[in-house]
Amino acid sequence: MKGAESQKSYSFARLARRVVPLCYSAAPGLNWLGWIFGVIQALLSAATIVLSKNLFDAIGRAAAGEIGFWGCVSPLLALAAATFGFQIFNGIVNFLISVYIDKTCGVIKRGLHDKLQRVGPERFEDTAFLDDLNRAGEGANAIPFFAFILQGILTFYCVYFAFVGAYLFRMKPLLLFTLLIAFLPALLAQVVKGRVFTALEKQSAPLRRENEAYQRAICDREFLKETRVLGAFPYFYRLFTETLRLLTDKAWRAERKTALLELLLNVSTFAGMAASAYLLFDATMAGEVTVGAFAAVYASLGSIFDLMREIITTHFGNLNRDIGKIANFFRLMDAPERTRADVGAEPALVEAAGVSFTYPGRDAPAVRDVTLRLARGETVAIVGENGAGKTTLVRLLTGLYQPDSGRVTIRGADTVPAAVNATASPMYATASPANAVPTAVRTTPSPVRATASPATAASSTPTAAAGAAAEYRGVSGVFQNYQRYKMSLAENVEISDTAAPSGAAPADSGKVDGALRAAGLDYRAEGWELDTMLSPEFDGVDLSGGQWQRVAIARGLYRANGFIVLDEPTAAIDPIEETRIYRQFQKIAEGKCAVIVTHRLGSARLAHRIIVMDGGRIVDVGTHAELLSRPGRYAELWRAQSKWYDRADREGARKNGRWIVKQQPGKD
Amino acid sequence: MDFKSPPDREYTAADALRLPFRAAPLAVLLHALLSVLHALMPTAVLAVTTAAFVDTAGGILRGLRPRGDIYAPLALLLLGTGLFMTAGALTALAAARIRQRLAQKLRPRIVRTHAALDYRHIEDAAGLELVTRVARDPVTSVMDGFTGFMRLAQVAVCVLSILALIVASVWWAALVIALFSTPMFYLSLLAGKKNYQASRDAEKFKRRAEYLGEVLTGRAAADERTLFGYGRAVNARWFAQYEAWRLLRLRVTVKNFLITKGSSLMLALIALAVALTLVVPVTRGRMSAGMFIGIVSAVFGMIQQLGWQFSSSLEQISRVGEYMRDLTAFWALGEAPGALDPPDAEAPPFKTLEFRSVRFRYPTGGPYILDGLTFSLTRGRHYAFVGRNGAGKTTITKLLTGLYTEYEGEILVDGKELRTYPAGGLKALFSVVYQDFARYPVSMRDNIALGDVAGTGVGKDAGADASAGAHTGTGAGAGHPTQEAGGADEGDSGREAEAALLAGLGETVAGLRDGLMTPLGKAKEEGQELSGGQWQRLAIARSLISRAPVKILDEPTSALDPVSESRVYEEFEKLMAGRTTIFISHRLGSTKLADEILVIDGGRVAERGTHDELVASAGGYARMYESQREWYV
Repeated sequence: MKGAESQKSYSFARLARRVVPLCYSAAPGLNWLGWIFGVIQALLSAATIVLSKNLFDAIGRAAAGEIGFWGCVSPLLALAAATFGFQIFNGIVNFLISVYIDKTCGVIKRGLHDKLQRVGPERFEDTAFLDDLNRAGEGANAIPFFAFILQGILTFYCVYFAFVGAYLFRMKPLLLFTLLIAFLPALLAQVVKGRVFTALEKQSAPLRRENEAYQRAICDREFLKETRVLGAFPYFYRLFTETLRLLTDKAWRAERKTALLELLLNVSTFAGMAASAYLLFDATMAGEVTVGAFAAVYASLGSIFDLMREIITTHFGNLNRDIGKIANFFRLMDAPERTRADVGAEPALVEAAGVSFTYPGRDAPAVRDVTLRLARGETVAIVGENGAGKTTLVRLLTGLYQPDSGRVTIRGADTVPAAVNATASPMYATASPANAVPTAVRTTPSPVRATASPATAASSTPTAAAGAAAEYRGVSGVFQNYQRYKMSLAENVEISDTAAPSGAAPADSGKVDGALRAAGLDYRAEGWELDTMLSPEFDGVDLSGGQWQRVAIARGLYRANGFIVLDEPTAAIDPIEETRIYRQFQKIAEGKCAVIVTHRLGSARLAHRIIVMDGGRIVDVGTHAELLSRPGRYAELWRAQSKWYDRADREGARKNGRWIVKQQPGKD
Repeated sequence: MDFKSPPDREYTAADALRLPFRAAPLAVLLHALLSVLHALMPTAVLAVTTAAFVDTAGGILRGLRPRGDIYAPLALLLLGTGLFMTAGALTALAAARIRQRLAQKLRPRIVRTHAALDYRHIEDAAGLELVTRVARDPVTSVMDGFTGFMRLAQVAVCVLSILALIVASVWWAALVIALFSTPMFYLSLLAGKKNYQASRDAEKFKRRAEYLGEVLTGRAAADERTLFGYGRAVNARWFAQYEAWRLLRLRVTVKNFLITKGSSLMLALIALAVALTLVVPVTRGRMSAGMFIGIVSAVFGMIQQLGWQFSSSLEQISRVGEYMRDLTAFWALGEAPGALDPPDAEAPPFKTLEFRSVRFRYPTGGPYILDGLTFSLTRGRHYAFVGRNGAGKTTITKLLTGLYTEYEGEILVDGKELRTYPAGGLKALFSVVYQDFARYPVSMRDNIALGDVAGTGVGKDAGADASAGAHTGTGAGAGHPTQEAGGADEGDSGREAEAALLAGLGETVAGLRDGLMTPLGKAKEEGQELSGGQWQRLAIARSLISRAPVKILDEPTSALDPVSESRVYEEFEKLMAGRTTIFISHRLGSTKLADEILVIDGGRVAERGTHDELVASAGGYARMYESQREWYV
């Protein structure tokens, strides 16, 4: 659905029309200076040709004894003044560019970050989206440069060529045309060159990927140890050098092809230039132009050609190279946003009805047709094996993901507002004033586009972001993949509730301390303070896995909540730590609506209800005793785990274990 | 300094010339020649030919010379321009050639050294950073420096040739020029150095901004970012860091700008001085008008580009100097002897494996991970190493496989110190299924065969076969080349097929498009991805095909829940019946299967015995076991 549409709506002209105002609003003053100075620079540069002619004519007369030293000084000073002026303005423009690019880039990226806060988190599970995002980031970097080149072409180059063209035309009309014709081959060369390199890139991309993969198999940290111990180096080294040779040879052949072509075309350009020179020479001999004019024009022919080539090769080349990334950027900015009504106030807390969810880019649904109701103050445990859909269900219940079908309500409010399909949601009314298109195909309501000026867009985003934070008010969680923020200890905790202190009052250190204490992290005993940086990379301290886990729990507690989700961490937790975490979870869940995801069935017993998942479905619900009393998945899992802790003799356990192996061959 | 033997001296910026010359001498010479020519054309040559032309034309116009005289100077003038215009394409050709040759020689050299590095550098953040910097794009780094030198040479040729012309006409003008240009040169050099230091300071802010950007846009934080809604607050912080970086950099740019622009204005001033001084000889008839015009247009033309080219080429050179310093440090890191050796065909005979008061800590410092570790293992028995995180279990495997050798105490294989065994012997002795096992981007057959390089010969004949596959990697025909290759090879991959079957990959193989020959991973267009569990089985198959007498299974917990993990242990134990095995885990329960359990705590063996004995002794093991068991009673 995207392909055809994107071709249509992200043409060069449309992108240019969006880029220029975007950059203008990021730095209006710098933009104006750029335009003005660009024109001045062009005028000075064109003037040097005329002034050189004047000087050379004067010198010619001086040599003939018609005028003396002082007659030559004023044309010389005029030329020098133009040259100085050009150098100064050129320097200023170059300086402004770097200021302008950095500044604009920051503003644009801030906008991109804001936008991403309003995109559903499930999209980050899709590698295609991540690739797009990556390219959009590059696009954000390329935009100011793109705008600058457009500006340069419109100011400096257009003005310069208009003046020089007029001057040459006045001198000898034919001259202008020969020059233009001479330039055609150069243009052609660039087109062909672009084609050859696009083809080369297409051919070498897979080869490069392969080559890099082999290099990684030898050198990357995740491979090196095993490659060394296996003695697999010769095998991969051979593949590496083999693909490297193919890759570089291919590049060389493409380079050779274009270089020879360019040589040929340069020769023909040169023929055109020689023809112009001859015309000029002819005019000189006929007395139509002075010898000084000839010398001045001839000397500047080189720089005229250089500038023309610069436009075509460098600038158009860059524009061409970046246009795809920039289109990606705007496509992302135009992507449909997540909208959700605020949390309601009804007593029945969380309810899911016939909920299914499939990750973008995958075939099989991760959660199918799940119906579930959590009452206030109820603790529910979800158990099941890897890939049973536990974590996905939790993401749906919190509203992080929106179901493909069915509905989830939190305190009576739907996680997908009905408004999306009818009219624009009130929360984003400012951002999407346009049409009421269904979310899936909506493409326009990016803040940048909808409000035309990104300055207003930037100022409108905080309200939108605040709205996003409000969506999940009262919902907190400790996730399986909890984050280890490279920030201070206090920041690591407060980050779960940044909306609360609203910037004015610096976060409540007492509350942070309380959360840390409740999570069982005695940071003072370690000699840390609340502002201790938790990252060796930024001159801070290094935490163990267990300590990080406690920080994550404190983070989940810090956020005011009536509904909390606790997803068990699988990796790198030893038995003692594991037991401790379960106890912690239990304590947290008391009196709240809580969902605990766990691998250890033993810990699930303490929940009011246990939900057993398999293959994305709920296969059983009940208390521990109920579930154990009937044959089913739970009983199987329970036996598989608890057998290790039976007091039964060891041989029995071994036999039992073997039996299970036979029952489930190749099961994953 | 060739590309074969390890270099033993300091690398400097000048190596940006030497390395390309070693790789492609003719192309380098051609490049240099063309660069000089290219610099000469628009300046000195143009000046001389313009002079000849203008003077002749002037003569003709005044009727002093016949019209025919003009053709020779005109032709010369055009010839000069023609050469100038065509030289660029040829220079690009030479550069492409150098780049190709350099890539083919330098990159393998770096990869080989990287692969053989002493293992401690790989696990050390600073070492890893250095290696990453060096290996990222060596060819571009060197070529940038090379271009810098060429461009500097052009500046020099340009200036000197014009200078020569001037001196030939008016000797004292040279003095004026020298007076002006010396401080300019000095200033430019200074700018390059300052620039480098200041950008290092700014780097800190940039790194922070980059990290926050990752929090705001990355995949890992997506859930928390959405639920906690901290995007706005973090974005504000990101912007503050970004602006801090930008302003710091701005300060550098301002200084830099003043210096480079100052130098080009100085150049313009020189040009003015030269032009003024030359007017006098013209009016006195000592210099022709043509010569004046030629020199002045060359000088003014030069200013337009040189001011910038001069400082930017110096900057390129100083940057390659930094790269060369990194390269020197990289080469000085030191290689582990025998790192690249394949395992011996026959493992050294062994009956016992013994640790005697082994103490070890990582070279980066920190406490002793192993602190007086003593135990002995006997051939043919199953052992389990348990203990909490960071107890040193994985470190033991690193010592056994010779990745680290700087331990105190003794590790004895049949009474002989481990360090006295050659690397190939150790590799033949142990087979390890790592926690973070490798997912090699090659066919499933080769993935398995790599477990026994000596026996399957995968490094030799299969290499040719795989590179034949590389030719088809362009994605032209996904189906047909593998078909014939697969048909021919399936016959002699009997051992691999058997290992796959034993490891429970039978169904997986049947489900793959080309069976065992299917490329895995993302390296190739037609590669197929396996699930985490399937990769794990593949790693086990690799260990199965290995003929090493000692098999180690190291915490395969990363992708597994407890039930699946137990299953892996059970299967592994069954498949390895009769071999010596070591399971390493922090999960208890399945460790019951072992003949003996060693509890590692504080870098030493805290307890040792069968499961029942340990539970009966009511020590740390019993406590750990109880803490898990209580959930199940």
